[in-house]
Amino acid sequence: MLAHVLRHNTWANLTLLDFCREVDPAILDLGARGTYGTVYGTLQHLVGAQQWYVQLITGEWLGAPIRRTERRTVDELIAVARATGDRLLRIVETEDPDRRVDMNDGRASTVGVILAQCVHHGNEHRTQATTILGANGIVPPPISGWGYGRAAGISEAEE
Amino acid sequence: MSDLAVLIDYDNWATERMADFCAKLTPQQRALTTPGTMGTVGATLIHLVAAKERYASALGGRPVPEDGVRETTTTDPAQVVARAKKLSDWFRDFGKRELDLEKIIERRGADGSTMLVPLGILLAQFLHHGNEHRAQLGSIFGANGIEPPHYSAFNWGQEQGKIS
Repeated sequence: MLAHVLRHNTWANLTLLDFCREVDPAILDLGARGTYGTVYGTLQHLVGAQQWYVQLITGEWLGAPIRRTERRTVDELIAVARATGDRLLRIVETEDPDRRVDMNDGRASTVGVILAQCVHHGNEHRTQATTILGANGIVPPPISGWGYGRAAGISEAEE
Repeated sequence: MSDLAVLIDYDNWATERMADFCAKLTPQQRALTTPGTMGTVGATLIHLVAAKERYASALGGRPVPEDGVRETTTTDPAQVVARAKKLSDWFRDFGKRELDLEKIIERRGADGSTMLVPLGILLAQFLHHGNEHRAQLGSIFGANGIEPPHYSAFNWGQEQGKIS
């Protein structure tokens, strides 16, 4: 049931990352009050978290784990976002949302909650990145569900 | 419970939590904003719930009710809280249905315009939209020194005993 939701998540991540690959690199180091950090730090956290959510469900790291202390290229973040996005689509085709998985911290979570967190977390930090861009006078790319529908050629709905 | 029903339950919880939190703020706090977001706390919350009204309307094939939240007329935070709870009830029932995600439905925008859209796209937009505006509210609170409520899906999972 989540196919469109997760395709939107992947499309929105890649649209934002593609946009940020093309801008002046100095823009990636901009921040804004009330957000997570810089544009780059936010994107790295977003992609690294998605990589971790997939690992929690499947037990497999897709790419070397992204760590806060390193700075990957935007192209490297795009590769992980694409690989984990594809895997999330396969997960929802096969997984029982009520199955409990180990969170590696002594707790266990249902798969459904991890998927909800993945979708929430992606939207939350994409919004923070677009808030930073907007606060600095840069028009962010459209990354709504409507935008996904238009990009996929399956809807003409607009904001 | 389907994976979609899980995400709907989370959205209901997070929207209600945010509405309750905003309703307890002072009028001065609800007038706060920060650059890069949609507008004030009050306007963002009303838009968040008014849009949820319109998503329910499109999914249910019925108009927004008379007491529904609207950007153009709603000002009372208590009404927003009450409607957020009613909408949670409606979406909870909706999440239990067998759904055809490719079914084409009519969606009416805030300006009254209508468009045809696959049901699955509307659901993707609905879930994106709630998260997006809750995130903007979180940014406004953070920028103005107000500790925001915990509203992540992991917070929800812990409250529900789905993480333990």
